[in-house]
Amino acid sequence: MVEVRLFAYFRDNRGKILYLDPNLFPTVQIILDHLGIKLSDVQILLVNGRHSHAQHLLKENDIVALFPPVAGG
Amino acid sequence: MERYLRNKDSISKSQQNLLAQGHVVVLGCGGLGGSIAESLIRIGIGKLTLIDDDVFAVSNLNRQRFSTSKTIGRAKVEVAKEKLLEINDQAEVISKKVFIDASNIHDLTEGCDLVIDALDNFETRRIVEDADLNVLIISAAVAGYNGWLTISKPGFRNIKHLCSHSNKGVEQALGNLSFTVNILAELEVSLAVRTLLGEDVSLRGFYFVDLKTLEIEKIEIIE
Repeated sequence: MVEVRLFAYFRDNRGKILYLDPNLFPTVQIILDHLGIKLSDVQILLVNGRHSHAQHLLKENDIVALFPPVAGG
Repeated sequence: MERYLRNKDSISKSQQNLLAQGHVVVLGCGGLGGSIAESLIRIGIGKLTLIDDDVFAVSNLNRQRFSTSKTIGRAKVEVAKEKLLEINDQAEVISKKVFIDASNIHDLTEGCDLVIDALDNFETRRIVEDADLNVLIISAAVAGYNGWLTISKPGFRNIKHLCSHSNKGVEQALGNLSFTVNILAELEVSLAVRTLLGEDVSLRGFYFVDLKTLEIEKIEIIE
């Protein structure tokens, strides 16, 4: 399974951590489509702690983390 | 000193002296900056420079420490200085009502021990980090029930990870809530105090705060 960690309002109605089969969800983009999150709304996209991109091919035990931009003071 | 009696034993007398010798520059004097400034003065920082070009508006009243119905329209840094000196007239408080940009960031921070980013946009945060200041920068931002916190220094640039190409984030839709602003401000102060007392608080990545789940998660980024 791929572990998908959502942060901030991405968690609303989706939960905090999801486990998805990489055979059914082979890229980050497909996960975003499944979750109804626009790529343009994602500020930080990490795969296993490294900056990555929506077409990253996922494999078993990968960890994806998604954050929106937060700038207020 | 009786003023700092309740800081002990978490802050010893010698550590209290270290704080009294410290000079901290706070960039931004809005929600984060006002709370940070008050907390730093109360805990015993000797010298504080506040920088912000803005004046108080009615929409600041939901969260900004020194905004009141009487201070609307007044320069944030001037009001803050007055209030901070009411708390501790032995502290040195410098107020600078200027817009922070690449041309003045070095002059504004010259000679300080620490910079605290209490800004409200990505563009200025990038300028501050890209300036390669020779001091540590403690940085935070908020939106709704969330915020991030990080520490940046040459060789450990972390603010860049959090900055979008647009100038603002989801706070445009989710707003800036008083409790989120104050919690992130106090987290910045806690890192500031530990830094001034000589502790290494550096990291590669950032902390993400969620006030709905009451969690602070350390997010490490491998480069």
